[in-house]
Amino acid sequence: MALTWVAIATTTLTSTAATISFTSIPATYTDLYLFISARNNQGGSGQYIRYNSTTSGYTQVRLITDGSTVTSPANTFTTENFMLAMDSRANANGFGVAMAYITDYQGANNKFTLQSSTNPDNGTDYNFIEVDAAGWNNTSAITTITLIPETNAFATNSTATLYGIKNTV
Amino acid sequence: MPATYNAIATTTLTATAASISFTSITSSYTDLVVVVKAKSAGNNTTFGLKFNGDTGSNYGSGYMGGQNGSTLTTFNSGTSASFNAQSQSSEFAPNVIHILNYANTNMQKLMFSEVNQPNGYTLQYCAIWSNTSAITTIDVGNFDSAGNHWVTGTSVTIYGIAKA
Repeated sequence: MALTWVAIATTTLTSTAATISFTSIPATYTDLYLFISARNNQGGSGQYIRYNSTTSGYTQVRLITDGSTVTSPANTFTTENFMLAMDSRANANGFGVAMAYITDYQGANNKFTLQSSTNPDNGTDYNFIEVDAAGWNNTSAITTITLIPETNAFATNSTATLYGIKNTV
Repeated sequence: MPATYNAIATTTLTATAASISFTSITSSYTDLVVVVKAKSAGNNTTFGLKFNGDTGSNYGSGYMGGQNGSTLTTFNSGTSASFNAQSQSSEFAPNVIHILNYANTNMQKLMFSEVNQPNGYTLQYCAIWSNTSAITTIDVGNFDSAGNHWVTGTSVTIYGIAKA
């Protein structure tokens, strides 16, 4: 396991935004960890994560529940990976949480990510829990990460922090 | 995860009790982590968190998991944020609960945990407290209707996590 965690950058929205981006990600770490508290401002229970602005090569195995059944739907996301965010129709001021652990992000292999996200609410139908094995079939080093809301824009006060992880003493 | 963990408070029961309370929680961290190692005197496996003395039906909880070939899932509203893993067996089953942005007054309070229960299931839990107040008090307890208590040796520790 990694021994050091360093916050590379953090963003808290002071107004709605069409994307949250981390650019010029340094190549000095072993892995990356992305932590997001997000809400869509116009419907939508999800968000997308895209690397280096590339829109191909994405794969994802999903395990998801709505509280009634647990399913593993066929993946339809090939231009980016998908995670949950809070739906704007859920109770006000609720924000979903999403985590992505990106391994070997600067290596010359395809990229693998463990994703976990949820958007619990109280008394509405916009509750989900999702766990994913996600991948980006691309051998380029990741230098840019872009988060894209499922619909329209991220709501004000959505936050995202990118951590770098070193496995050296 | 953030770079620093600091233990804010810890309690280990020396006698049976229905709950463990932490008050005057500082707002100087970004997130909180609550580590619960609990064993119930009754046959219930769930326990709850209540914040700032709120006993109303202002909490939502859900989980997704598996147990020996079966899947488990639900979402419910209730009077506490519900989690699992307290044991009735010889073990004190652990649960590590992350409470995000606990002092941020722009957000309802969201929390999650992943549980591997000794008697045979794995669960991913999430919960929300539908309130934007900063969390200053946490009651962690065995809030089931049967009135079961936690046994001696049950412990709860709260850590503060600061962003680097």
